[in-house]
Amino acid sequence: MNGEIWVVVERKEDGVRRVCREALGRAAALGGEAVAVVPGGDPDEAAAAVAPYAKRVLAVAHPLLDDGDAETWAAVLAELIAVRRPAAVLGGATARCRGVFARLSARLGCGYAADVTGLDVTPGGRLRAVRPVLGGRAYATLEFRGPTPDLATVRPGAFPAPAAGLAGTVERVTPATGALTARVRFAGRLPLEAGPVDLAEADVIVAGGRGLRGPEGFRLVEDLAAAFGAAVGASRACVDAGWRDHSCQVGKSGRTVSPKLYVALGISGAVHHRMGMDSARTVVAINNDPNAPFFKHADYGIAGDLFELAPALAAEVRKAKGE
Amino acid sequence: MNIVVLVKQVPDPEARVTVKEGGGPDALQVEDRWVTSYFDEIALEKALLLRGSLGGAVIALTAGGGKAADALRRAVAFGADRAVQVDDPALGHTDALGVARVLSAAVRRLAPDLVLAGRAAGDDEAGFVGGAVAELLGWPHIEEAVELDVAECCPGLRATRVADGAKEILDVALPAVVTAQKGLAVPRVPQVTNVMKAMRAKIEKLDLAALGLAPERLAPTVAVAGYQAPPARPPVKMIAGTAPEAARTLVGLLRDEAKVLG
Repeated sequence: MNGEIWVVVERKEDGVRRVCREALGRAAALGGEAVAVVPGGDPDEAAAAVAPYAKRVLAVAHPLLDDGDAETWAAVLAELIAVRRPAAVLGGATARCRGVFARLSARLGCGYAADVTGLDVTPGGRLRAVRPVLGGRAYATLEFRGPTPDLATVRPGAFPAPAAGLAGTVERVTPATGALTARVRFAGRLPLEAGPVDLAEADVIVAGGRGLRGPEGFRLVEDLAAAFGAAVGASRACVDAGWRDHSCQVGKSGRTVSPKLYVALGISGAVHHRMGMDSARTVVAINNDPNAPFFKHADYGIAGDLFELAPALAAEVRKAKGE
Repeated sequence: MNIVVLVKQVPDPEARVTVKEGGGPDALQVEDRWVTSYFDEIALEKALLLRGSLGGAVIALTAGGGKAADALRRAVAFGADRAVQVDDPALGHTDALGVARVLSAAVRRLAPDLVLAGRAAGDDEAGFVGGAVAELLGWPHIEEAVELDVAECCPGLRATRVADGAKEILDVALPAVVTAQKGLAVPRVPQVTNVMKAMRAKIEKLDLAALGLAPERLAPTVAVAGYQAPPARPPVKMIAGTAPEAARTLVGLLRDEAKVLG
């Protein structure tokens, strides 16, 4: 691709959100010049966190960017895009960046592909994106027309995350403050019940369903998740019954996840649930019912007593990890 | 408070989906079963709850012909006061950005205090229209709200959003766009009598000319070049034995065959 491919980078504690590293890796492979654009935060910290993953870093500093409201991010990015004219702009398919990219597309009149799982370049030098539709039951290939840059957010887990190893040059940018108004006021920020690992970016997810028989049964899921170092997910039935918060729900009306490993404990495997996790690389289904539909859509299946299998599996995982 | 709710009729999640050999732009075949997008129903329910406590009107708005009006009838059966459909041949050849332009032009005309919509539609799941409509209107937007009420501190609304691994509490002045995540409200099951009444409800129609939009504004910026079936998973390997045996076998396979451990 001729020209610059920007990746809008979201920070996470003192690091970089994994999906943004994955997007940076893909951007570098598309042949253009990959540039990490980091809105908000301390520019020195941002530069130190991002430079190992990109040859060039634009650290955009302004206090109104720190809260991460999509409107202020989009205003600043649109201003930079108009001046520097990148060929494409990528981001992670997070709630925040989906809001930012919807605004960028509307503001610039540029095409946008959300939540893509494949990205390459056409002979004409435009992006070509593949994205799931209808709950992952089909994949659409999208081509861009009209004005550039081509915009896309990438699904977490769709591309490999490159290891740190670069030492990018850092440029600091101070946006024109006139363009910024903060109309969403951040009154508080709290961590989630979901546990120490974020569902959207987890390598491994252990999810529980109705087969656990009650909220106490979820301790099996939590213990197995702890053994794997995994995030905890839940089926709709468990969330609707109040066993878990809806931020844990995987499926059509919950989160869509793409971990390397998805372990389903006591989940029957209804189509609504599978829509949220069918792009997981390896799927393990464990269920009391040997006829559970999930077994038709898993790589490995065990039909047996969950209350014996989950602790046995947790013990084996701990042994394999040398704990 | 007057609220516009953006609604969309989408294929039933349980409709059969097939992708024809060859995979061109016409290869996607979806069984003819339709529902109103689930998150839009949550937005609609929340709008009706807000009307109950704050007064005002709830106006359902959709863009498109054919089945699109069914989402409006559903909204009226829920209890919406008005139903507005933008229908124009140009909508058949546009993309999500064109739809957002149409919806924002219609919202500007309806001049509500608040726009509510689902966080994403059940078919393309892009989560695009809410943010794009906010941008085109020049309004603030709160994505993926799980709580929404009148702010006590200041004029406007207070929302809670659960996303990206955190829970955020946000205050926003009106007019604003808020998109609904699961948890914001539980959609009702409309009574049969209301469903019957909604069949005869008046649907207000608008076209591009009425909105002052030139058809060129709907020229697509992305186009579907083709569809593919999802990659098939190989047949399942069922693991037998006692619990400790099965656990040991599974961990061995995860480590050595699937290579997802360690």
